[in-house]
Amino acid sequence: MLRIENLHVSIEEEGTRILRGVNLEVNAGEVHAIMGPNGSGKSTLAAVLAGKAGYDITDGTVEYLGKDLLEMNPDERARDGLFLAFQYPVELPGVSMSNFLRQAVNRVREYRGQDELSAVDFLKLMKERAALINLDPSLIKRSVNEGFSGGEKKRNEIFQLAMLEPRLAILDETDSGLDIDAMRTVSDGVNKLRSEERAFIIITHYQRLLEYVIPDFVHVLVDGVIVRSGDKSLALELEAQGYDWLKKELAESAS
Amino acid sequence: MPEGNISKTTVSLEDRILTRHAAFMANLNGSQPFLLGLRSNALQAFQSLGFPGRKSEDWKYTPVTKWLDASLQMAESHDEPVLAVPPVLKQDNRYLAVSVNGIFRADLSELPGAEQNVVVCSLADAFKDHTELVQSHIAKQADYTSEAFTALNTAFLGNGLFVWIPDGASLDYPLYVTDICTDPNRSLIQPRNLFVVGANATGTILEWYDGPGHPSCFENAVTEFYVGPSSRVNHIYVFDRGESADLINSLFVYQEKDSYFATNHLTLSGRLVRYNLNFLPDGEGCETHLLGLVLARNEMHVDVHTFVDHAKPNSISNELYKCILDGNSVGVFNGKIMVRQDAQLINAYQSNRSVLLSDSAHMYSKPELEIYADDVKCSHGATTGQLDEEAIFYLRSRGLRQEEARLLLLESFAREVIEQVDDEAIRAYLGVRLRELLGEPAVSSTT
Repeated sequence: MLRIENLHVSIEEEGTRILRGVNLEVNAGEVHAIMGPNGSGKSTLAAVLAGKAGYDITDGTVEYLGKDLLEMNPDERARDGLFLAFQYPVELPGVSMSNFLRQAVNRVREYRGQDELSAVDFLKLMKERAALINLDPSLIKRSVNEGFSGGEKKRNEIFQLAMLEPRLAILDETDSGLDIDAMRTVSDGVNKLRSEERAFIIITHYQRLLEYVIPDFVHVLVDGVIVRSGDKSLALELEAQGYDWLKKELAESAS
Repeated sequence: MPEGNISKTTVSLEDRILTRHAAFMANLNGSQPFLLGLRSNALQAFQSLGFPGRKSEDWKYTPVTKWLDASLQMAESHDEPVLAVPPVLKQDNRYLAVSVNGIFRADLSELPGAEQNVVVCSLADAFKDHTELVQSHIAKQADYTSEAFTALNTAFLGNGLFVWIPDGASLDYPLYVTDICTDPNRSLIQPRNLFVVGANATGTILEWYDGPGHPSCFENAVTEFYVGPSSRVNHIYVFDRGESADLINSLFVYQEKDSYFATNHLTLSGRLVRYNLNFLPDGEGCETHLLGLVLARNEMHVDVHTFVDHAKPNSISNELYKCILDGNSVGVFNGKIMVRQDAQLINAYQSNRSVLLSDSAHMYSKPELEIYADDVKCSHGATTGQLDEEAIFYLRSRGLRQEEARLLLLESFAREVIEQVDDEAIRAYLGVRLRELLGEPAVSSTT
């Protein structure tokens, strides 16, 4: 589904190199966790995959469903089933949740050759998906993310994921700032949305979330490179020993 | 631009005005001494004031003589105008007061029946039939001694619109007020409205000025509202005459105690648009709401001057003006709030928020608070910015196209004002019109 090869990314204008040759392959049905210390390039990877402006792709390729992902603009990617749950969801004062989501859902449906949802069917879908991830139904009547608590914003991202039914969902530090209860609801939501056709990339600093959403693969990103990949036990190892352990080991093998 | 050209142009226009005024006065058979005196005094005031120049602080960002060009004629009256009541005003459950080039036309209007106990007629008739009432209200709030455009309007005062909602009466349906501009020339038209609302009376007045035929008129309108004790008035004003129409609109609202006045100005097109909106809540327990939305593009210039003069205690005013500026357009907001010494326990809020959609659009925003009482709550805020790129990316990451994301954000920005328009049919129409205007690609400044 997704094949990243030798991806090099710098920040536009200032030129700081963030990603220095990332390789990653994700297939349908898989859940990949990408872990790494602060500043290792995790969020940059998520942003570049979603098509955010402000980055220079200096080398490498990203293939998504057989297409050149980097040639697609952000909304094309979204309509083609790529979804990013933001680390910092944007507040949109005055933009009603239902108005926004109805447009989004219908754009995606249009792309898939499906008919637009009627107002009634759309409302039904919203209620059903809100219940699935335990989203307070009153939030649906408000402006997007406006005045939402940190936990509500993150839950709203997963709600949108549930509404848009993407093929590839990237969760950028969805666990940060969540208390244990919120973490559990968000994880439950993600688990319910796992399927054979859908892949997840879960970006996280801590192992905590991975206790609830069990990944098939764990990758460790350090200084813009995936330095180690393994199964879920790698996450536990990292939790026990910290990133310094890996960094030290890497430094030793390099010298 | 050489200064000499401007003054030459305005002198010739002023000359034409004087010539026209002499003819106007000479033709008034049997007019009352009151009116004759008012017009003469106003003309004198206009002559001594002159059109405001660059140095006038009130017109700092709006050098109005730029729009008072040599081609501007005094409006001629046409006997058989081509008439089209704007389709949007063809609603059920409303009354309609139509003027043509600033002259009220009962024959084109649909007015409340006698059982409604509400008077809607021309000012000329009102001077005859309701002499005392009109004389005690006309030109009382609209001070022609200090403002040239109000003076100019008053100098030609005669055939405007008069609406009287007597004590205890209420308009069961909104009164739609419109003026149809038929002069094919670039002409000066001067609508004049007087609304007298008695005690415990209510009404919704919707003024609607759009532009079938794209008039290139210069409109200098003056409207006065007297709002009696415990009365409620909703006022809506829509200006959408197209890109060659100019407007100076001076509104004067006088509120007695415990009265409520809400006004919402929606400006969707025009070339020069200047509002002088004056509110005097002159009794305790008054509530005043001022809202406005400006949508400007290309070379449009919109200047909103507001003045809320809290003369008495225990009152509330709430002010919100939003502007969306594209192309080379210029927006000006000057919001003055005065709280006089004895006017304690005033809550006065003011907010001006603007979005600039192009690098060549400009917004000048200036709050002016003068507070002489000590126990008041006043706040003001002004923000000007561009559309939030993060917000656009967020929407695009959910599948909305760039243009859809932009439109959704702009509509949401405008909705705060539109949704407070107290007329369902008009609100729905405005939603559609707004989408049409915002969705159109702006004309490039190079073409």
